[in-house]
Amino acid sequence: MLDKNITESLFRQHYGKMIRLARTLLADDAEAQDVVQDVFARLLERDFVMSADKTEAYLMSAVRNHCFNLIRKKNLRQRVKNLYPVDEMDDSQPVAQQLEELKQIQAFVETHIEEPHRTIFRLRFDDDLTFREIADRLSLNLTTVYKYLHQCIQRIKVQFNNQ
Amino acid sequence: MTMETNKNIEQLLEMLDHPESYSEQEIMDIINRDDETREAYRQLVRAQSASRYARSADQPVDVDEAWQQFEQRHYTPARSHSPWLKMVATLVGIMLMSGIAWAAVYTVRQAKADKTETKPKTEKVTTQPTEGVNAETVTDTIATAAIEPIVFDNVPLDEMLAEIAAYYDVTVEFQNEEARQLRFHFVWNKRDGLEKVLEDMSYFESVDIKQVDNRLIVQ
Repeated sequence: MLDKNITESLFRQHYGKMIRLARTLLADDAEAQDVVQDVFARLLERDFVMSADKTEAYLMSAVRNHCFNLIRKKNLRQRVKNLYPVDEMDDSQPVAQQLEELKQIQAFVETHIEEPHRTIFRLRFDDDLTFREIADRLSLNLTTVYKYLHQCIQRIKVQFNNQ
Repeated sequence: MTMETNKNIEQLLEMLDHPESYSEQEIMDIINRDDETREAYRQLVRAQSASRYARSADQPVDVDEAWQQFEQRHYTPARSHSPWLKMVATLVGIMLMSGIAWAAVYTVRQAKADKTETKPKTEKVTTQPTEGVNAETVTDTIATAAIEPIVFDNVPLDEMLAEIAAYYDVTVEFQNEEARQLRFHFVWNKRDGLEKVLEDMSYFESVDIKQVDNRLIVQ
């Protein structure tokens, strides 16, 4: 079993980034916390063997793999409800790069998406409103809301078309 | 954008609001209607992640509480004490048992020496020592279990291997000189055989350590 002092220092050093990644990939905060706990539990079981400078990348990939496994176990309706991937989950992209991309998408929406598209985007993804609720709130036709959101994600796709 | 595409996308977005009223087959059909819908779903997944990532920056992170939880689950005093208590109890048991066994053997030997023993009693000799051997094995385990594992925390490979090699009486040869200064975390259980130690080390990134006869070759 891994020495307690080492585990604690690794835990304290990396927990923040790890929980943030888990919260990015999973909608449920309790699940996200469990994932990070599990990753460290695994580490403990197998004894930790790794070059010091690779530790962070290793822990972050482990968190992502754990999240993906958790998503795989969910049924289709749960996945769709939380907007989780439904087909194969891509783990070829380094985690750091994936997060950087998410950050850029966020910035792009802030700076390049006009109103009311941006508000629709925010209400749907940040506030978890349904399209019907968004239409009511903005006094728009439901079809218009669909159209604007689709335009919005298409612009993101064109901007970040590396996938 | 064709009318058809718009319709498919509308259907996709509509489904996302209440997937519970669709069958799994219907959901898959709607997402995989064509390349446009599949791609739209992928973009929605990414947009949702981007939103969660941004929001997670403001979510509180209580590392103290998380560590306490982890500590409680994996390093509780109750857990670390009980094996020792058990071990002490077993040890006492073994001492008693082996005492009896040795006493029995002793008695039988004595009896044998007398050469006046009857058969049933000599049979007893063959059964008793087995118990003695068992006891010995277990005692050995306890003795070795007491060896503390050595923790290398961010230690250069040449330093670490020098210590390990000396213990197993082998030499180290660095064919990759750069590997000497690579630092690793490693927990070395001295009671493991060299083979097991090397297997554990095979997880080290960017070095390869092999045993050839009495040499450890680092590549």
